[in-house]
Amino acid sequence: MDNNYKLSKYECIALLIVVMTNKLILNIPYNIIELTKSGSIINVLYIGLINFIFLVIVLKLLKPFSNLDIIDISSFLGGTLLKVIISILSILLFLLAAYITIVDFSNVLHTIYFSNFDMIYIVIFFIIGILIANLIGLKSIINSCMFIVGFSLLSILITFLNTQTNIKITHLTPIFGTNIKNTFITGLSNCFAMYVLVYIFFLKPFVKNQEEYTTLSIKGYLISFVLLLLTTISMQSLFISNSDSEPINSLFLLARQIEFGSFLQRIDAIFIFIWILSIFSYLSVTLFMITKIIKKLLNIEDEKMLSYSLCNILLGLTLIPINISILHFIESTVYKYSILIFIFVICFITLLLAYIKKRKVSKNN
Amino acid sequence: MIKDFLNKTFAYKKEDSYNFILPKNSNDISSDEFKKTDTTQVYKSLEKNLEYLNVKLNLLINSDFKIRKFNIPLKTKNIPAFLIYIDGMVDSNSINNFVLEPLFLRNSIKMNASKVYTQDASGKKCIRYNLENFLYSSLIPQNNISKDTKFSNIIEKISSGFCVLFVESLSSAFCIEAKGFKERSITEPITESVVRGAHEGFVESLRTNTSIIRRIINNESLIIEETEIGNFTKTKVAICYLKNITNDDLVSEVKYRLKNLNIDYLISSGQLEHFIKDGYSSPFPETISTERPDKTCNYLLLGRIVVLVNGSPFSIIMPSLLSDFLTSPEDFNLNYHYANFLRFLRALALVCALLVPGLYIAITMYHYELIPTELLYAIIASREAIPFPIFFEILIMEISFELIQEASIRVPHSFSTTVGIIGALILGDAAVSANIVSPILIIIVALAGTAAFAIPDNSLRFSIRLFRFIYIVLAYLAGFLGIALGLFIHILSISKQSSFGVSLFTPYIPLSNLSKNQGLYLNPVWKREKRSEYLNTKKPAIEDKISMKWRQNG
Repeated sequence: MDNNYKLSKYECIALLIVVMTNKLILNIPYNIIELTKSGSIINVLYIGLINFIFLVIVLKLLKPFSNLDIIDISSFLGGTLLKVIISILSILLFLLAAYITIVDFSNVLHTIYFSNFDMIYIVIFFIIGILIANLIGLKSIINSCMFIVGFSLLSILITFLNTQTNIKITHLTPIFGTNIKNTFITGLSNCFAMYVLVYIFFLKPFVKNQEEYTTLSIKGYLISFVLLLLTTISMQSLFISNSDSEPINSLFLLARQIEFGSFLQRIDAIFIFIWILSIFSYLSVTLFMITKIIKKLLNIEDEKMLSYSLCNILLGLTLIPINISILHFIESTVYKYSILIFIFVICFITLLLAYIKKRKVSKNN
Repeated sequence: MIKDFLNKTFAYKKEDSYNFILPKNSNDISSDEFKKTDTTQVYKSLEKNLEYLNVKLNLLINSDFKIRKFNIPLKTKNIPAFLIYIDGMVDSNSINNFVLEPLFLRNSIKMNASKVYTQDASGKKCIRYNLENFLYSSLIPQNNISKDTKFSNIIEKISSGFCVLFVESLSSAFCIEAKGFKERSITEPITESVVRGAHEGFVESLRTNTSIIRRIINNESLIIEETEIGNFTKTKVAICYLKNITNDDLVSEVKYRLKNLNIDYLISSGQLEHFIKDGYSSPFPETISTERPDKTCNYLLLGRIVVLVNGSPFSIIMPSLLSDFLTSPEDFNLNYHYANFLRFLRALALVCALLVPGLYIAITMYHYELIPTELLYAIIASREAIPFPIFFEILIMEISFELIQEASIRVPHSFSTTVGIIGALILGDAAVSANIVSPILIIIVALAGTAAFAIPDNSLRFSIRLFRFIYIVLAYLAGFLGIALGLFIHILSISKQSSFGVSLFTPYIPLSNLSKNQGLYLNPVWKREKRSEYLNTKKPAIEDKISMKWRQNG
């Protein structure tokens, strides 16, 4: 495995976009709309701004820690104990993200195309894909991200452009939603939608040019934000009126509206094809991150066996029978607040304290 | 009666079946044994030399080795000598006219020139002749002649078409070039024909091939280094590069790989290609193989390295990119608009050849909403009478197509058209009439097959043909999910691969400066100003910023 590979600027941005695209595929914009109704666009702009300010602060705090991620920073701050705590929390968060992605998307595929098969049949395809990707190594995973990211972006842009003909101004009003409190106070929890922030805490050691980390993070964030905004606008025009029951996959339903003349009437299958590739890339990246954290935590030499074990764990988790409502609860509540707590509380406080300590140390020196 | 009975029962009967079994315990000889070079020196005694060669070259068994014994008549005495060569590898006229005739007839003319005055044991002044110098400088009027003292070198020379002269009392032998074996003349390349371009191709002779390259490039910077590969065959391999352009590290790496091959034999460039590729288990090609000298020279001038193998009419070009496999030599002769259009078509052909049968299965089995209802009805109607599932139907047709393709290549040229007609037209039509396959499937298989033929590189075509079956199976198992899994792993494995340190997806993945790297898009000829950045050549510029000076001067 060529896992000492360092990412270039474009590769890093592509990785962030792939992460974001997958969150868009998996109903995150719908969750935003569900909470803030017609105020979703304003809410997205609002959380985008807050997250951006947060990102700038985080990047400022990360600056003195060259080639270090949050695990190394926690080790610097609180020694092994804090490192172990942060590592375990990170592993759990990434595992939860991978689990939700696999189960959710397999569920979508099961409902749309493979209703005759068991869910496990679909899950195995994803597990095989990510296992092979991790056995091959980071360079190939990143190259696959580079290959797929263009198609993913194109699919989202086509979906957005197509829905422009269906936009009704009544779906966008009242622009501030049902009430201001819901849009700006309760809606603050939608900050979890910018999931790329998690990766900002982990990607630094993988970047070739440390000086570029700030600019590439901001670029990656801005592109991700634009994608979230476009998808939210598209979805708002479609789902605002019937948001009582969650659709199987909101972006898929949007794609179903696309028509190219009379020949290609339903090209959503092509979009699903692109999104499957995107999910493969994202899951491979997630599994790679977990492997790296465990390697750091336990000083493991052979990452191959770790990949096998993690894929088995993931397969085991997906075998637990779970109904859609519980999955929805995990996704919209457990996962949402886990991300919020992890980014805005645990990582941020650790980073802030480490920054203060670093300054003190350098002053004393 | 009793006699017959006894005869049948006890008499010896000859076994009527003959059964040969190869014995399992053979005397293994390690390859290191072969690597040991023979250091035996040429003896002064002619008899001893002959005896040595008899044993070493199995002259009593080998029928093609010829020995011509004779005496060189000098002024005072006759000196015994013999000439050894391989029949069929030497030119008899050269030996007769330029080796034997001078030795027999002209030897007395300049003998005085080699006079040396010495003293014998009693101190008496006497005349001696320096026979070795005399033979070398005056008696054998050949352009390529060398003196050798080691038998290993001498045997190597004999095997490569030299005749060797051994003379009594001399501790060295004369290796005289008299090559005269028959070789194929330069003809048009069979596998890469073009409309507008050179119509000469490489041949099996290494020297002819190097001479073609030198004739085209015509610059002293062109280096053609030679090395030998194979403990048994000692096949000559030429490494060609431009000293002032090609990256030194790349040259060293190629030489390093070639010189570190411990193999018994090397027959073709195809074999060598697999020995020096980075990803040894990958079915994807990593070097370009061509029989076109113009294509070879073009890549040489761009900073690549070319390897030629004696006995093979194909050159190997390295490093190579995925886009190179979709490039035809025709492209450089065409207007860049057409060339890019053709390149786009070839890229499309690559996708079609790889995925179309798989996509057909996926769409008809899992994603039928993708196609218009009328077309779906047409497909269902055409499959109504077919007894097989779609998966077997397509497998039958694909395997049949591959068989026809293979058969038409293997049969003599005069039969290949017939095989094509029988296979494609009669079998296809009959299969549809017999309700074994649906007509639409014939279109799908034909489309995929034709698309594969549009790919210029043979190795890539083979790789695509193989992977097509994998995609068919994956599509059958899980439709687009299966194809996506296959495609994902395919991308991962290709992106892991590199050709002499250059990623196959360069310059697209990892994304590098497209203006400084030649990818699939071909710039107009006046904009091909730089050699590709990834090659890190010594001379990046190909032409001036403004190459068409006449425009400015006007």
